[in-house]
Amino acid sequence: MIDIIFLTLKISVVATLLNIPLALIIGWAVGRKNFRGKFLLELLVSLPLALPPVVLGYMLLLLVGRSGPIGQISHLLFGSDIVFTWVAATLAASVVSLPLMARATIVSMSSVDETLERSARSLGAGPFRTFLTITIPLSYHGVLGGILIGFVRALAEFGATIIVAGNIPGSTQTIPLAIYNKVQLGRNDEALVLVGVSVLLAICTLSVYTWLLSRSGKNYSL
Amino acid sequence: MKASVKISKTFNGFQLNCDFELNSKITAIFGPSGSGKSTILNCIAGFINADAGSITISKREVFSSTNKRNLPPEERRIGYVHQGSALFPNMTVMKNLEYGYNLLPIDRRNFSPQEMLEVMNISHLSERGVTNLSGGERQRVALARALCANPDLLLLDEPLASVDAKFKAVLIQELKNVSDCLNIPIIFVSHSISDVITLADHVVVLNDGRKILEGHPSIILNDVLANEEDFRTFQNSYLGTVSDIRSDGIAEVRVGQKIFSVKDDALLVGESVILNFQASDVIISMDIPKSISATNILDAKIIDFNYAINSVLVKLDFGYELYVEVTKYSLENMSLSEGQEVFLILKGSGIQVIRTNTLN
Repeated sequence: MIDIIFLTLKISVVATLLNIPLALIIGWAVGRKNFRGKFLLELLVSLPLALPPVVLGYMLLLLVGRSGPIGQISHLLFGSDIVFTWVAATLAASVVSLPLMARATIVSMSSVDETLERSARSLGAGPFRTFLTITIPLSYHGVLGGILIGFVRALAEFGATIIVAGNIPGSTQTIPLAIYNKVQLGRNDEALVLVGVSVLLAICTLSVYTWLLSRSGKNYSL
Repeated sequence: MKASVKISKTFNGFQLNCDFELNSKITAIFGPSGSGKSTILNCIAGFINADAGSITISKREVFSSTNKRNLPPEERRIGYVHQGSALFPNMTVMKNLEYGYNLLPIDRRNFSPQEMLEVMNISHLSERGVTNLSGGERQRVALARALCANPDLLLLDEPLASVDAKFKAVLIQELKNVSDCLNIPIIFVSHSISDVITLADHVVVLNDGRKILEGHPSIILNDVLANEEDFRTFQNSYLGTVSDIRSDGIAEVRVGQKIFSVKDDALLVGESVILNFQASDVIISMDIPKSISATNILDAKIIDFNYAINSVLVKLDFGYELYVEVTKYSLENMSLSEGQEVFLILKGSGIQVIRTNTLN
């Protein structure tokens, strides 16, 4: 039981950590910049939200499977497969949670007043320093909220994971997959305990998220 | 020459074509909304790229389409004060001032944030957050922040628009001090005739993306853009010292060689005050008025006339410049002419008195 919880947390944390730089880059690009192809990028980022997770899992399988391009590279470099490992489960969690994180980051970064960034630039700060000292601090409530929502989504991931990582106890079996397995086997008591853990994890994360949202409504006066 | 701007820019069907040289301390870019004023500032600052042309600040070329040079904003050494101040809300006043200062190479540091806080009379705000400051305080902090970065040129976008009348006179004085004492040229944009006349010593008039006039600020008074409302609300503003408080509660304020009587029993002798009154609150008389209730009668000389459709803004000299709005009918009826000596009548209650020590 502890193994299942630990594996779920490991996969969700790693997936979230993988997504943070991606979400920040996408948030900055879509929220703060105008460029050709911006609409396409927004569409691609949001697409996983509109697709069944099973479809995403299958697409991922085509990419990381032994005959897929990423799978072949992995086989060449490390001599091992990605599919049916915790890495595949992490990739699946990452793909389904990225849109939520990226969209929250886009919204919060696009609400940062452009004149503040311009002021920073005219005071001598380059684009990267301006991003670190002005854009991120002024949008961190939304960014952090997006990270937490993405983490919750990763905890709850089922459809894509079962396609690309299977349901292997001790290797890829996360809480949602274990609940499915135990219900199938009629071990309802064990399933119920995992349901309780799942609810508890979600409540804790969402409480922090709601607290952050309530704070972001306030100003930054010291 | 302190700066030279020659740029063209086309976007969304709008064409901007502007060419001017900066030899004055404070230059205003004046024009109606949508005339391209802010676009020029943004091109100079490097926030918008001009399509063609060149921008040179203190002999340093920051943009040139022919030399393919386009310095990013952080390398242009141009201070920019936005209309809404754009103070960083995640920092205290002091941190705002330190932001640009800390990014300067040691050899380019001039005024420290502490010194600048004192110069701008805002030391007491140092550790405050910026969200609860008044409009005037925000503008002073924004100005101080820009100056801490030791710019070669200061750009101000409608600097007096969000400041109430009380702070305006003080801010104008501070901007003039910046330009005089720190020797930093200023370009500001404005659509207020009064602000341009009071603050600038050179004006570039824009309309529909093109420069239509350039010269001494008084040229805009004769321009087609001037109207009755601008003339009527034109504000005369003077810094004076309370010289006497009479037993009837009337305070006497000395402005140069002249004395103004104002009704304010809270003033103290020796106190510095700013006197504000509108051009429409002053009456011109050919003869010295007798048996009149108004307490202020000044002798002055007519210098110039500026015409709108129905009214005229008369420029006079009483030791300082003063503007009076009269109707065209009065002007013709009284046969006023340049060089003529007249008397000005002003009710004490029509003068707004601002104690300068309440402005910090």
